[in-house]
Amino acid sequence: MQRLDRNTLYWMGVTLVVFPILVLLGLLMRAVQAEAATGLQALFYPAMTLHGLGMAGLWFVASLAAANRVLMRYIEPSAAVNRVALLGTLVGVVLLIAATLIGGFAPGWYFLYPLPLHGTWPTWSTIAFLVALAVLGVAWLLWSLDLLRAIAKKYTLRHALAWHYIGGASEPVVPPAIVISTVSLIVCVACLVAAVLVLLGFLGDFVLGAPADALLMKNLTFFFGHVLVNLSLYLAVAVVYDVLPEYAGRPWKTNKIVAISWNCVLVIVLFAYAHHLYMDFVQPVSLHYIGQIASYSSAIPAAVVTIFGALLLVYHSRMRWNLTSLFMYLGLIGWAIGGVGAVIDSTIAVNFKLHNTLWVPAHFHTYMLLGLVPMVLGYFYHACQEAAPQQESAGLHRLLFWLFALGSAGFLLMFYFSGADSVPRRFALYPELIESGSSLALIGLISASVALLGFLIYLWETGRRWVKALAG
Amino acid sequence: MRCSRFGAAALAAFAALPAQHAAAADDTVQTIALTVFLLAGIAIIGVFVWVARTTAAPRDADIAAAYRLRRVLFLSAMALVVIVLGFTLPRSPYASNGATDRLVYATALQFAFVYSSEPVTSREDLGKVETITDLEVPAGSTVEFRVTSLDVNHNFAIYDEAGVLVAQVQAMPGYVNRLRVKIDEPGRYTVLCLEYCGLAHHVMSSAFIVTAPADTSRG
Repeated sequence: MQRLDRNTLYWMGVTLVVFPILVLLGLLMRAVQAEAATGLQALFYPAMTLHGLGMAGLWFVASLAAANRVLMRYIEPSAAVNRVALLGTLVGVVLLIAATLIGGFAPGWYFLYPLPLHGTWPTWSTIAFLVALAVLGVAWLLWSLDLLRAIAKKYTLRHALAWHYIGGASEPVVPPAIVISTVSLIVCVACLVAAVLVLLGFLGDFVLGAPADALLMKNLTFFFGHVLVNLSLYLAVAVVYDVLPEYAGRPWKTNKIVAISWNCVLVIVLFAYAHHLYMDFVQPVSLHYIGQIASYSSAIPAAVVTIFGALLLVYHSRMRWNLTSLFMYLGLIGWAIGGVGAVIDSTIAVNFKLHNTLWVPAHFHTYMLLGLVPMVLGYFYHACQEAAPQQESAGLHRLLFWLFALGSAGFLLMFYFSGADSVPRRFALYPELIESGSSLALIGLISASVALLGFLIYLWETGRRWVKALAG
Repeated sequence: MRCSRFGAAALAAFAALPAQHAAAADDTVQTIALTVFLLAGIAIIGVFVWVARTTAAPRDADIAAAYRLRRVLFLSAMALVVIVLGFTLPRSPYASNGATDRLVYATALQFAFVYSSEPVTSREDLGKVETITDLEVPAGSTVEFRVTSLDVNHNFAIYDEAGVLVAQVQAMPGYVNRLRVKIDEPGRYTVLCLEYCGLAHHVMSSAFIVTAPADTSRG
């Protein structure tokens, strides 16, 4: 039995409680679009804002909390800083809930400047949102910097980024989780600095009446948002690198190729965000091309090194299939398939027809809902089962796995079909012209409900272990 | 082998992309995108399921052979990336300085589009500049929309009568995006905003008519 620290337990608790609530907001949105809950239409955009901000933020902290615990095997991060990050996150969440559900604040999850300042919502809700953004930014920046500090205390930068492997050495041994986390945390600091600049842009306009440049703000916002979501996924992958070998009974070590691959990611992820601005024709065309080249290039280290490495790890292994290994394996599938959807959309000539259709939420929901989420949930179950072991029910695990996987797949396919059918994203109701929108939304709603049922069984399986671990 | 088949399918698909954007109001690009995605998704699931099933018969993996395969996959992926980039980048929709038959200024604001023959740079201009209430353009002509916004970020997305997205560009405050389109099929084209812009985002729409050549000669 391996003890589970209180901070990780708290992060797990927050995740397991907040996630289904945010899912319900997503179901509400699909129900409104399906014309099955027209009385709730006024809630659509505030719910959309809270759902998006909440999910992006929740799975960032959930991934970071999981990576934090994995890293504790190798380094000593500060428990106090972790606790400060937790408190800051809770304050931020309360402010966001107040701003959106009470104040009706609804600029969408990436709150594109200057929309938050041009809404019909009350001024206090905009202030609450900006304060929430500042609190979350500071809390997460502190946490990221502390993890980097703890890594730097044990490893030099050269070792933490595995440059010695690239140079041909294999000593000292550096676990992949350290390499990937270092890459992710460096990128995290860059993205949070961008968030600070966005916040300053808003404050300059809001307080001083000095409008910021809309194109610059858009670049900074998408840099922040794109990087945040990607690094959340990378942190979850770091966890998989560390845990899945325990189930496969084989090692998954850093080597020269893994080192090159993740160092490439460090650079590429900083440029791929440009694909969010393809339809801003006034942006220099060279940046659009860089966006497509970087987006394509980012797929190679992911597919050829990490996905291939995972498949090699499992291939003819003595795999112990349980909820953790099944979910982590599912997460790798979702990451790969979502990556295909993303690469297709990152093709400028294709993006011209798919940008801001439902293809966009299709691909990012794929590598979130079927990628990052099962990876982290798999780890949470793993940690709880280690801390408070109970008899495992293979049948129940298989049932919840298939409910979650098939329900999610059906939900996502409706997004892809909608995107290919030119259905716009972020429409509370569809005009007559968009014939298929509401019917596909209804199928999506039913499918997502099936996935939620699978999650609720997961919650029962993991939750009772979590309660026991918390009591212990 | 699997990789090369997928590569060939992807290349064939991208080669079919229209050389000039918005030349025809069809859903070729969307269909190709969905087809490539579904085929790739099925292939990925197939590989993962196959590998998972091998765990029923545990044995040592041939690491050397695996690394050889990885090298082949890496080189194939690199080649695929270079070829697809070579096919698709020249087909990007960015405006060139070629001949234009009609210049239309399209100004977006919460929650409407305004067309005019002169630029609108502020709300004060709206009362001064003559606006176009019934925009008509002849089929087959090249129209350049100069798109901007007076408040927040919007989008200017042209849909055909079948609800297929033909062309789009963002509308941004302080900037003008040039969208050049050549629509051959006469009919009523709806313009929707595809960048979330506030609580009435989904009702922000406009329309213009693409007239048949015969209509044009009468006019």
